Parts: sequence; C-alpha cells; structure tokens
Amino acid sequence: MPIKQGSLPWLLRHELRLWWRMLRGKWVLVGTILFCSVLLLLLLGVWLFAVTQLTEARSWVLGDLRSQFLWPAIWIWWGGFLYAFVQALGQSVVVLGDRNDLDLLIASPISSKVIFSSRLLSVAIELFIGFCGFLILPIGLGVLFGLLRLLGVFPALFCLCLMATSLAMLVMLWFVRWLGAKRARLVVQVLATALFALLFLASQLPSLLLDTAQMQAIAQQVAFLFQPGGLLSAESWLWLPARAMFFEPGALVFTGLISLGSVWLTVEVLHQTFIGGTQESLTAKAPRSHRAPRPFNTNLNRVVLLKEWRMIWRNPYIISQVVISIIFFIPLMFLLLRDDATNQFASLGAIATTASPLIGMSLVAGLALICLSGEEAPDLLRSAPVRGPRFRYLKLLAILLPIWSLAVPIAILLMVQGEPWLPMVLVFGAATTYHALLRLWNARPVALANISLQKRQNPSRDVVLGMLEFVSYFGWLGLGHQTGQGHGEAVVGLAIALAGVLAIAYWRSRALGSTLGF
Amino acid sequence: MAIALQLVSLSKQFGAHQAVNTLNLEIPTGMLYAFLGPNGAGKTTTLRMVAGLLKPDAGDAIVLGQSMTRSPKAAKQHLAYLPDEPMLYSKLRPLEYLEFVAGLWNIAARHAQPLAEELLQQLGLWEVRGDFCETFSRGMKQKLALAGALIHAPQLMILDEPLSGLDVAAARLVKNILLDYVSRGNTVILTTHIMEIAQQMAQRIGIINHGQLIAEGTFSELQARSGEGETLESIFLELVQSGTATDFQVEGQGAK
Repeated sequence: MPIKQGSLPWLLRHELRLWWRMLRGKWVLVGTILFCSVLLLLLLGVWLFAVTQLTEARSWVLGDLRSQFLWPAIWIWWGGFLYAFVQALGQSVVVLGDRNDLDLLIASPISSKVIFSSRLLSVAIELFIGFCGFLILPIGLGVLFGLLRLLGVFPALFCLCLMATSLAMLVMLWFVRWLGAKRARLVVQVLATALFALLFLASQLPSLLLDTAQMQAIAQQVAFLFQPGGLLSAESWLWLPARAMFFEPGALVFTGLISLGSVWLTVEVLHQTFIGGTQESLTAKAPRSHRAPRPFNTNLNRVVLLKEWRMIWRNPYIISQVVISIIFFIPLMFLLLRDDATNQFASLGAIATTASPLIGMSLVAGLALICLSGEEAPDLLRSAPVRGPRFRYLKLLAILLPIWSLAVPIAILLMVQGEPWLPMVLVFGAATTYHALLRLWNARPVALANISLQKRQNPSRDVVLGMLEFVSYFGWLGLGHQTGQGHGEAVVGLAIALAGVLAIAYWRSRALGSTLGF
Repeated sequence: MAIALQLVSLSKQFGAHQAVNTLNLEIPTGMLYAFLGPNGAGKTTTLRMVAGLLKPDAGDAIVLGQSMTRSPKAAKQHLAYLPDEPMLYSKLRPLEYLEFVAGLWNIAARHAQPLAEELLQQLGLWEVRGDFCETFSRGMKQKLALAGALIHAPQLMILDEPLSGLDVAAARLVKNILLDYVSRGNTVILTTHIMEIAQQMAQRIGIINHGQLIAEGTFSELQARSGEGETLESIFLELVQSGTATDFQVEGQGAK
C-alpha cells in the first residue's frame, strides 16, 4: 500500500532511509543476515542441549521469572536507558542541527509536529534496532525454554528508547537555549562521551581500589534501602519499567503511557520553541569581542606555531574526546600494574613509564588530527613562498611541544619522590615523536567540521595506518612497561620491532607521496 | 612592456581527460585580464598551475620572469592566488589570519599591521574583527581572503570568481579596489562567469575551451573579429558553441 506523501510514516521512511544509507546499507544487510544465521544456529544448539541435558536448570529457570531475574532486569533497563540517552544526545545534535535540513522541512506544508515526531521516532527506532541486535540471542533462548513472557522485553525496550530519545532532545534543546547553538553542540558531544567514560570508570574503580571487606561494609550501610518497603525494594515503583520486560500488564501500561507522554511533551516543546526562534539561534553568532589589536609578529616559525596552537585551543571537542579516551586507559593501567601476589601496585616510576607513552600517543593522535589532517587551507600554504617540508615539521613541533610539556610536572614529581625519572622522559619523548611521525607520513586530509566520533581516530579509514598505530600503541605500552621493570633485553627487542614499523610507515609515505596537500 | 605572466606550452591531463592542452599566453604588467570559459574548460586548472598548486605535465608558467617549475619560491613571492572557495581558517579572527598570511610571505610586522587594519576598514570588516571566520557570510569570507591576498602587496594577483557571493555594494568595492590596484602598475587575472564584469573591467580577454585558448584580445578586437556579437556574452557563446574558433586566435596566442 502506498504511503501518503507528507504523512508521518512517509517522513519516517525518509529518516530511516537516510540512516540506512549512512550505515552503508547493503553491507549492513549482509552482516545482519550472517549474524542472524549464526545466531539461529547457536540458539538451536543451545536449546537442544538444554532440553536434553539440563532438566534441573530448566526447572529452576521456569520458576518465578520475576524473582529470579528482577535485579538483572533492573540493571539492564537502567544501563540501557543511559546508553540510549547518550546515543540519542549525539543523534539529536545531528537531526536537530548538523543535518541542516530543518529549514527545508519546516518551510514545507508538512506540520512541524509531524516533522519532529518523525525525527524523534527515527532516533528511537535506530536505537531499538541496535538493542535488538544484542538481545535477540538471550531472549530467543528464553523463549525456547518456554519463557514466553520474556517477549515483553521488546515493547519495554521500545518504550525505553522513546523515553531516552525524548529526554535527550529536551536536554539538547535546553542547552541550545541556555548556551547558544554552537556551545550546545559542543557541550552535548562532550557530555555524551564523558558520561560513558565516567560510568565505565565508576564501574571499574571500586573493584580495583577497594578490597572485599570494604565493599561489604558499604553494602551493609545501604542495605536498608533494599528491604521490603524501602525506596529501592523489589516492589518499588522505580522498577516498574524494568518489570515491564516480564510482560506484567500494569508495568507495561505504565511504561507505555510514560513513554507516549514523553514523546508528546517533547514534540510539543520542539514545535513551540522552533516556531519561537530556536532555528534562528542555531545559526546565531556569539557576542562580539572588541579587544585592542595585539601587535603583529610575522616571524614564520612563530606564526605557524601560534596558528596551530590557536586551532587546537579553539577545538575543545577533539581535545575532550582525546582526554576522555585516556580515561578508558586508567582501569587498564590498574590491572596491568597491580601485582596479584602481593595485591600491591608497582612503583610510581614504573606506572609513569608504562602509562605515559600511551597517554602521550593518544594526545598526539588528537592534535595531529587538528594540525595535520585538519589543515583548512592547504592551498594557501602551497601558494606561499615556503617549502612544504618546513610547514610539515613546524606542525609536528606544534603538536609535540605542548605534549612534551606535560611530561615536565610528572618528571618533577618523580624527582621529588626519589623515583627514576629519566626513563619516563625518554620513553615518553620517543613514543610521542614516533607516533607523530607515523601520522605525518601517513595521515590523510579530513574536514574537521564534519568529523564524527566514529571516524575520529582514523578519519580516512586508512586500514594500514590503523594497523601501524595499533602496533605502535601496544609496542610502546610494552616497551614502557619493560623499561619500568628494568628488563633491558626486552626493551631492545621491542625498540627494534618498533623501528621496523616506523621504517614501513616511512617507506609507505615515499611510495604514496604526501596526501596532506601542503 | 614587461610580462607579468607567460604560459609556455602548459599542459595538464587527468586520466584520459586533457584539462589544459599546450596553452601559450603572455600577459603584460599593469593590466586586468579576464580569463573566460565554460564550466570544465580548464580555467581553474590553468590558474592552479600558475599559482604553483598543481604541477604541469608539460610546459611552464613564468611569473614576472621566474619559472614556477624551476624556482617556485621566487615565483610565488610576488604572486597572490585567490580561489573561488576562500582559503580561510574557521577558528581564526581576521587580524590573526592576516598576521599569519603576512608571516607566510615574510612581510615585516611594521608594514603588515597597519596595512591589515586599513584593509579590514576598507573592506568593511573592522567591526567583525573579534569574530571567528566561521561565523562570516560567504561575501565576508571572500573579502577577508582578498585582504589576505593584498597584505603581501603582490605584483600579480590571480582571482578565481572573486565576485561570487558578494552583495552589490561589496562587489562594487572589490571592483574599485582591483582597478585601483591595477592603476598602480600591478596585474590582475580573474575568471568570471559574469560577462558584463569582464566587458567593463578587463583590458584584455582570453577565452578558453577544452583546455585551449580559442580567442584572445581586447573587447573591441574580439568584437571586430566576430562581426556579429554586440556584447561579450554573445561573442563568448558564439565561440564556445562553435567548438573551434581559429579565426579569433590572435597571432601567437598572446596579448602583446
């Protein structure tokens, strides 16, 4: 049946088509078919095994579903809500701002409520499809066991996606009105990534920092909240959305009403505020500043370094992304540097020597993206009477100087603590220079304005560069660790291997030529 | 008269497509020269080779006596190139941008700063000197890029569609700046799709099609040879649509 032009389904189909093409549709389709086929085989295998071998387990699972799985369901629901909220925040920036097609749509005779409803629903459906990819296996397994009530997970999750998307769009809108569109975009992008990073850190650090006794003491202090009648007890209304996953009619109706209400509210607010001028504020300028002109200094080295540092300083999004990615390394460092036998951490010097190259290389990757790949006027540089290599090496210096300066306070701290500082300085300096050279020789141009989170680390999808960087990260992680432990032979071996990788990168740059355009 | 730009058998091929085909041309100093052609004729490729942004497959571009292929640094020193998409930095302010460009051409700060401030005032950008370039309209970006081209006082300026995106007042301002610049003995080569501009402003006009110069001369010369065209637009269309126009070629394909 043909869909009526201008209707909600028609616009929704348009939104989903854009999303599908952004995902490079046919490859997703092939991947999905493969994934589902493997999944189906797995499910059948597990089901056959279960019905024939695990009769005890089967009877346990078929007991009271809610009492067995309420707390996992609560965790899944709230974790899923947070994940969906963060994803929807990022998507809201795109669909309400970056895509730049709202003028076209709002100028058309289609009702703005239909337009915003389709935007909201499309984001929610995209999230829901993502969830389904993860949950089909366990839910399918449950259904094969006879737990038909688990099918309630799907409507509950769809409601969850609607609520998370509604909340994300309202938050995005609030930021636009509070901070202005440009800052709002930045804040929302940073917030979206920071939430994940901080949650990840929060979930890992207690088990890394606290011993079992301390954990138990904390658990005892908050136990009253979980007693019957407590705010967080199993009967609490807070868990109604999670109970909807077990097809409890009341919970399902409650969750459905809440999600529909949130959608209605969000569409109304979007309609009113966009008509009231939010669209204009998306392109409005920040207030002008009229400081007295600073005296010029036109020394070439100075102007190039200053320009690059200005570009870095004025691009906090990329920098924040890099800093956040470093947060993800912290639990890894704790695991790597804790001696399981004594439950003690390694010395400060060893920690610094291991962690610093990884952090330095992450920063190099971010700054190289701005200074090398993100050069906005390569033609201007090429039309200037200056040789290209001079620009390239000045840019390299612009990347490395601020990063090297970060090693100074760490070195001073090590000196004060009486720890060996020179190995850290040498490893840090060598690793950052190494990584900067990898990027200088192999980076491709990229438009920073359009860069998305997924493309940040290797924006040109250069597989070889990605492999070289992967080897570089782990090579320097190992080299730093071995240096901290004082294993000279391992250090020499790793240094030779890393030199080989660098030689490949250099040879490749000679074979391909510079593609940076300056 | 001294030669500002000499193209010697300049050629460039992209795959099977011959973008510029053995182009010969001489443009004297102190002249505004309009370089015209339909879309894809090879104008921008030619200008990019002249500016040293693209290496020719064969031939050379001699800028004020300096070969762009053999001594690019010397050739670029007195040349400014302004493409149709302004070469700006979104996160720099106008004065920061001009300071950077002055540094690239090694212009002393004591000369560059007053000139930068004067140019911003002249081009109506002084009030927005505190804003980032990313907030500018296309016209404002175009004007700032022009200021960047003028900051190092080039003797030859190459402009690709310099008036696109400008409002009426800004277009007139830019035209006046260019004419004043030429009256001081400098040379401007510009491309445009607006024939009236070329007809009004240019002392000589070159028309390129399929990478070859098909006509060259003053407007009167082109008109006289055409015999039919009243306006540059009609002459241009007649030439381009006829495909070949050897009758219009000036001897030696140059403005001598």
